[in-house]
Amino acid sequence: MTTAPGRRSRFATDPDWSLRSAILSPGMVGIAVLTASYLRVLFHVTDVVGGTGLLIVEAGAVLAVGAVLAGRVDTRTALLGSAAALLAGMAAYYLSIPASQRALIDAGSVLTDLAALLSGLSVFRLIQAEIWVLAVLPAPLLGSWLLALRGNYPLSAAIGGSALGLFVLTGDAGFLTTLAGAVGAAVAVGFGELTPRRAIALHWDTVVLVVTAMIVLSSTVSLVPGAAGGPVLGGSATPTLEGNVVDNADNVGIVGAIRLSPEVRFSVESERQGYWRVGAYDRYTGGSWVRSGEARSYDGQLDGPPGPSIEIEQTITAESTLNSMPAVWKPVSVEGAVQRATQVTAESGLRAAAPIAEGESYRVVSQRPAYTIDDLRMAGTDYPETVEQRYLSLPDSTPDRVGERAATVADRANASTPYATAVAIESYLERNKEYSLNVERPRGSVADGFLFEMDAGYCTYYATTMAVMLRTQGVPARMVTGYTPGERVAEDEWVVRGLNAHAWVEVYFPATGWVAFDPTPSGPRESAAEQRVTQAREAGENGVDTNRTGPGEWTPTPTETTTAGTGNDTADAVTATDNLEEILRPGQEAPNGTVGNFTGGGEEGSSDEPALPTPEEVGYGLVLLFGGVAAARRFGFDTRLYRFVWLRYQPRADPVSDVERAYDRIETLLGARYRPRRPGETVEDYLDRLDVTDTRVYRVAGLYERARYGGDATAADADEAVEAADALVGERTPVLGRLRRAR
Amino acid sequence: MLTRRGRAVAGIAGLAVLLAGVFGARALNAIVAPAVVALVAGYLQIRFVPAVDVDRTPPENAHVGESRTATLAFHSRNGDPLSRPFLGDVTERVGDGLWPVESENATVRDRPSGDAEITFETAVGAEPLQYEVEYRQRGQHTLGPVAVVATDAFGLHARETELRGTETTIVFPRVRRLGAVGRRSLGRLQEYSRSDQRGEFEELREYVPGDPLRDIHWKTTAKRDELIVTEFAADTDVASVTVAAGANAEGADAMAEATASVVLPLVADGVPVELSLPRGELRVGPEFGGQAAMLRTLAVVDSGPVPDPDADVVIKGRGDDATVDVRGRRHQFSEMVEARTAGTAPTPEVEA
Repeated sequence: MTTAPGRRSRFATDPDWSLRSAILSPGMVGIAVLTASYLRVLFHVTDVVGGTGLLIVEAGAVLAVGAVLAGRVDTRTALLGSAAALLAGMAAYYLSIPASQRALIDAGSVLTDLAALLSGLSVFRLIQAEIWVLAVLPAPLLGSWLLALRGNYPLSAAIGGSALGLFVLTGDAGFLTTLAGAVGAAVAVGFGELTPRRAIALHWDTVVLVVTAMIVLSSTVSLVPGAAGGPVLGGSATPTLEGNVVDNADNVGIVGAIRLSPEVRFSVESERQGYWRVGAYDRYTGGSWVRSGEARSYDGQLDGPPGPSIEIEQTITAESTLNSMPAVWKPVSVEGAVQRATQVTAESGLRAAAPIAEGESYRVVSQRPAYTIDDLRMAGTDYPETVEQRYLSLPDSTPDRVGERAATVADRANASTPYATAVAIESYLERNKEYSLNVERPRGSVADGFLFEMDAGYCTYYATTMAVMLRTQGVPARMVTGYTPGERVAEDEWVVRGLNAHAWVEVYFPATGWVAFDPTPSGPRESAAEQRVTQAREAGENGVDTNRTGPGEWTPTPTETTTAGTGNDTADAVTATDNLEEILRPGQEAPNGTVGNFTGGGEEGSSDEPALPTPEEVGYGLVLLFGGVAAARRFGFDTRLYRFVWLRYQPRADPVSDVERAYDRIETLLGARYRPRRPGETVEDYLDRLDVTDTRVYRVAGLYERARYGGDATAADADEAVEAADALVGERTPVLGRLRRAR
Repeated sequence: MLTRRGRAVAGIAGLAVLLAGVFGARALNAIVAPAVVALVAGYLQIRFVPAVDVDRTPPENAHVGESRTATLAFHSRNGDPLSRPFLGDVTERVGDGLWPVESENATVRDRPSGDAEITFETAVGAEPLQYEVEYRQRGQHTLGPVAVVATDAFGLHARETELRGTETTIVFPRVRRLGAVGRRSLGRLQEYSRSDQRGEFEELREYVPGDPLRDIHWKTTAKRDELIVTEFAADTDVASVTVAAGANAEGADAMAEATASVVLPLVADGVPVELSLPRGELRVGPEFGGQAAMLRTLAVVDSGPVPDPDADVVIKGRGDDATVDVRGRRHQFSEMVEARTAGTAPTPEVEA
């Protein structure tokens, strides 16, 4: 676009360029929006992993440097500078990686990592994410800022867009952020195209109209395959609980309404009942949970928990394709065909590198921590450093009131140990929140939203909130996903369905290890699941049952069962509290009446009260309004509307101008019906040639000529002319005319 | 047709769809949908671009070294102004010998054929486009045709239409102001041509001041009380100066320039000139004009041998310079003119 006339010596200031006019150019608005969109992603990352202050300083410095340099560089130099900044940033990041890990990096692993990022690996999962962010920002920011200042908006948008595109691919840029970036790029390119053509006044409506269409279309229609997230507006694709919680291996986004899948997923043969655990997540981003660190492949025996433990053998058979490897915590060995495709996550959980096919089975040996409540009470707070680093951090943006509420809850329960705090928070959530699958995702921090704004939620909300509250109190905690025990079909066999997918919390106790807490009220959860299974059976859905399951459920014979030592001092607990114990006791039925507030996912409207429009709705409204104005202008509706009103409605002024306008209206009618009056043609000639017979026309024409050329008209003349014009317009125009004639 | 930018946008959208299919949708819909909207909207904008015609006001005829303004105005096929000007790049071809001058919204490019083209990024049908044209070589030069590449608001699609119709502009050879040497040598020619080559006796008449004394007819004067002079018949053949010009293959420009620079001052001094050129002859004189016709001829004259080697003035173009023989005395044309900086003489008002 801007090719410098002739060769300038590099770094000499361009005399024709001024910073002020470059910044005030309309295309700059689009670049600002685009830049804001990827900065938002970066700031979200630093909010979670730290370094926001540094990032602000860095962005400010880059903008200042760009403003100083812009007068001296051309497109080529700007691109080279941007590439140099990228290389320097990557080198800095490389050097920041601890030396032990650096040794593992070679060209191959860099390429794999890049491919992983592009296929959806969240930035949060990178080691030293805060340094990565600082390293990656300067290149696109400097490049797009320089090029935008030089007026090369398309290239500037391309550079900014590739930064945003990277975060879209890593999954860190949300829908609205991405849309804002796309719109920003469009505005920048559009106005960048119009400005040198001096066509902004002529064509702003086109740009605005197209941008409106972009916003509306991308919010309502999904053009890409596999859109599980679904569009923002009018999307009916509610994700399943299982798909949300268990399938996506490396992060769990917290979503709104969710439904239950009644399909049978796997069956377990095990001597003891347990929560079939799939994965744990250490990094809380405010809206999702992410597992940081790399998984390694399984290479034999794993360590057991630090304290005493009980060995449990399980054989798990996939009943439909399984994307995860459920097992009781803590797995120590795996056998079976899937062993080679097994990975061990940084949290010591198992991960299936490839889906497990239907019918395939594997055997897992787990060492479940064995402890007494007293062990947990006495555990103290002597946490290993690695645990403190990973499991206590929270986003800077987490509101203080979450911590305050957690402290109040702990105080009220007179909790003086981490265990007491955990129990207090767990029972607080169970008591105070209702179970519902049909919720709207809160804005901002999910824990804060659930605690203070929502009355109901499902397992991820409970688990997230509890983990966050514990972390505010200095208790290491993480969110865990997996499956509840499922339907017991024999003494040592359970059938697990998609709807058994669940999320809970693990809390770290020195000398014992990770201990599970489940803050979700079990009664309503189970009846929701039950209801869904019954419904699916009635509807005849496929895959709801195996030949072992069915309405005739296995009833425990009062033989020796796993629950031998119940009570507070048990050494065989699945989770640390009574509540979970109870629900795991075979044959226990959900108490009646606890289901009251439950509403099935997506089946009914959540509430009837009129809600205030969300900022998104207000935004969409404004966009549509602005787009409508642009459309009216673009297609000339505004002038047509004006002519429409002008023809039908005549306000009165003085007699002379009234008569003139009355005649103008009639002539407009004649012009539409026959032909317009030619320049130089007299009114009389015109009417004669058209063969107008209506005497009213002649009468008004006569009045007009006298008013126009003689400047002479009385109030009565004006009345007559206007009345005639009204009548003629009424007869000639379809709708009004019909009404008139009908009268 | 998609532009490079349009292909890039389509490529990004395609890649996004592919990545969404393979690795999951993420927020890729917010990239694909806007890209598709932009491409479709661009196509529609291009689809409904109205057909236009161009009105070209060519720059006036003038001499080498001068510059003039050309104007392009667009209107719809039926002659009305466009109701909605559309975005487009207008490229006007400017023939070899003319050079369009770059401006804020126009860029100039050489074409392999030797022509130049000037491209405006503009809204077609809004303001008329104007550009300066420098006249670099004599000749009859063509402006146009003009090509309009309509584009949409995002520059994703383009449609090119060539609008037929060209105009010509004649560039006259430069007329140099003669220096002292040149004026002196031509001055002798003027004296000579006005001199006393007597023709036949015509009549006797009264003396008027200014008549040469040697024309006084003393016999008759003695008989009368007043001075009587002899009047001779005016001999136009003798009074006019013949100029012949020729050039070798590369010397036509120098010949044309030298010829124009020599003939026009003679005519301005009232001396009629008979000019013979390789392609023909013409007369230029104070009474009957002909300067414009001569300049037009000299603008396009080709090289060739000198048609009349015995003429009073013989001009031979050789490469960059010309020789001017005035009655057998040879001058280099470049030495006859004022110092190089002087440039073009104030051209006599010439209607061309």
